[in-house]
Amino acid sequence: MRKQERISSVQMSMLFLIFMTGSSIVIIPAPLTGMAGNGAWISLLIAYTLGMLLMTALLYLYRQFPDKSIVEYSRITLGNGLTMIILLPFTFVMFWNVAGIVIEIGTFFKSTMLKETPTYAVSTLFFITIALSALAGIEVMARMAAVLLALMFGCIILVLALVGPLYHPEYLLPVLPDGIGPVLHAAYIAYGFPYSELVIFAVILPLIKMKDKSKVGKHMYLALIVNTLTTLASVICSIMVLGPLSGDLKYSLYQLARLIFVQEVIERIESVIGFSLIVGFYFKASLLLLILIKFLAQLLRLNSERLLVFPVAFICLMLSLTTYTNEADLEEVVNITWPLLNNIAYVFPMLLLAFVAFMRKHSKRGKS
Amino acid sequence: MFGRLLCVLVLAAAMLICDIPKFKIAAPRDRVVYGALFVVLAYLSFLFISSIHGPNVDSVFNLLAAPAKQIIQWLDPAKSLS
Repeated sequence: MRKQERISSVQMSMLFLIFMTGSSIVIIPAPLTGMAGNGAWISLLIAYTLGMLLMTALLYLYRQFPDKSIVEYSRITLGNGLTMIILLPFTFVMFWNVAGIVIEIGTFFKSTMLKETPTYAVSTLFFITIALSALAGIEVMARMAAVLLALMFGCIILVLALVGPLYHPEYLLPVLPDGIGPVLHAAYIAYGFPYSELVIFAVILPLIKMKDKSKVGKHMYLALIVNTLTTLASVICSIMVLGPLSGDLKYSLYQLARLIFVQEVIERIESVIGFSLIVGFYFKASLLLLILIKFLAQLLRLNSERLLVFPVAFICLMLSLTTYTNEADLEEVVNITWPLLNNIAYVFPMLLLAFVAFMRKHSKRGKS
Repeated sequence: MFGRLLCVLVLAAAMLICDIPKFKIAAPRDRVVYGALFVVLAYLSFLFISSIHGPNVDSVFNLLAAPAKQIIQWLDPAKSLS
């Protein structure tokens, strides 16, 4: 993070894809199917539509201010005082966002593979890795993203293909037995995690190389579509294999991997799949930490970003070990409070900035 | 408790060993921010080691639980959230 690093729009879209898919592919299908049943795929499409609208606003601001991050164009648009007020919740929520991902990793390991290991041991090792990755900078992470993306998607496709013999398409019906209410509820959850989190890319979009700026929109929209199709496939396949149990069993993709049995040769591969899924969690957390550090450095007008890496990572570690340590409380905050929190902290500032920038641009045109 | 204390002390020592050279050449503003982060870190470490449930970000987030439940009631009136 010594000089201004630049990445291509393809690399940015890969970072975006792995960020959006990384943890949601494992976590999202179960609560969605638990709430909406066989209508979970409709919920996902509704959440995706809202995500597309947010992406449109994000790219609009990027086109208006191509070399500036959200902090910089917020100062231009709203002034210093109002910027601090509206971006302070952004900061707090981002701190907990990093912690929340690691809480999920710790819960995943505790419930599936490392049942006797204390959670703080797993979380500490994770945070050391995440901090060192963030310290390496965005160029290194972008290069890593290509390999990790291939690994993650390869494993997802492999799991969904190998459980093919267990598919029961009849489990997909009936679609809306309890009406539209549960589907809207599930859409609210899916919107909260992960679609409303895409706003944080406003911090790092200015790092795209000058020659690629015209292609950013196309690549980012494509990444969002790929993310939605992958999550949709995961949800539909979970329903077709697990049926009514899909809402009760957490970590659907991992559960599907446990069921793989091919001629007594390929079986019990869930641990291998589990590690590749953890890659998604790890990368999302690393990228989020990197974004948080850049955001803090810009907001507080600091000279050195590198000095913040370890204390911020340590604070996020402590937050992951002192907040929502109970699984039921964590589930409540993710399924109920998180969408509202994201709307207030992430979405509202961005929409406000987009609105003010739009009005100013049109009032200038009117005057000229 | 001993395990937690040891974990925090080892991590803090490693962090300071890496950061002190950078801290010495940092600008005054950067040092103030680092100091502020260290104060926050010390408080959270105390909560972690002592397992006390003190004021934290979840205390702020929980203030939004009631309005969030209300939103869910509007979306799915058949769902009862206690």
